[in-house]
Amino acid sequence: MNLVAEEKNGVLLITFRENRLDAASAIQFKDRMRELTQTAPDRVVLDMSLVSFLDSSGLGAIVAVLKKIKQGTSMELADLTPTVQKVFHLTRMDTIFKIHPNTEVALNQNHVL
Amino acid sequence: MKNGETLPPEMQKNELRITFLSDPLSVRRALEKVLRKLGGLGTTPEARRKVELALAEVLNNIVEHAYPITHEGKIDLRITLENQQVKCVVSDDGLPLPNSTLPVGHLQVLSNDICELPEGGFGWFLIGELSDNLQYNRAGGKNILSFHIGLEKT
Repeated sequence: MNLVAEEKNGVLLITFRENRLDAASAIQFKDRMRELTQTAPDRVVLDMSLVSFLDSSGLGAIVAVLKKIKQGTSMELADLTPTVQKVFHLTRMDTIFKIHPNTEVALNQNHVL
Repeated sequence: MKNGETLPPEMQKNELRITFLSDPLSVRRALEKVLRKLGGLGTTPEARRKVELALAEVLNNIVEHAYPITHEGKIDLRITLENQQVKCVVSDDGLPLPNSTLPVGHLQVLSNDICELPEGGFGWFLIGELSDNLQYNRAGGKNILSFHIGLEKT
């Protein structure tokens, strides 16, 4: 599971460096994300720019991470590719997550709850 | 076309038949083959996205529910491109769908309370939103599920 985390501007930026978040990778993703976000600052931004495919298992894993993240931390997404956008839009999960057009915008934004 | 009849060559070109084991990595590889095939047939990226997502949901459902104990069940997949539609037929020898009936997927109402958000149950809803003419038959110990996805841009 290639997830890379770095802290920038007080934001924990996590980049998912694989092109599929699907039934084959959902559990590993969840576990690794939980480890990475245990001591997270106020904002976690997940860079999804390399993820060309997401299915409902992958979506469920992202929701599970949101539900388990420590209180007071906002979990946000950046740079969704068309298939990922489609899944978030059809399920209306795009109304739950803060979604940024790209990581630059996400990192330059002040914390808005 | 009757069973067993040989397809004319131009139809074979527009068709992909694959058989694979019911485990998540085999599903992933099968989807990659489908996408490669459709890419070579001049389909739009949007049509390919819909096919990939709808098929993934159907196949994940088989892996999880038709063959719940082992990952040694077989899945047969046939994709045909004709009349501006991608036709998908998926069959397996696993457990039938509950009541041998196609489930109706609903858009889930999302709670304002994050703890109440659903982590699953999106599959049949997505399949229904993405596809047309979704059909399911249980015959001779086999599940046969088929659907179409139009090639026009939406």
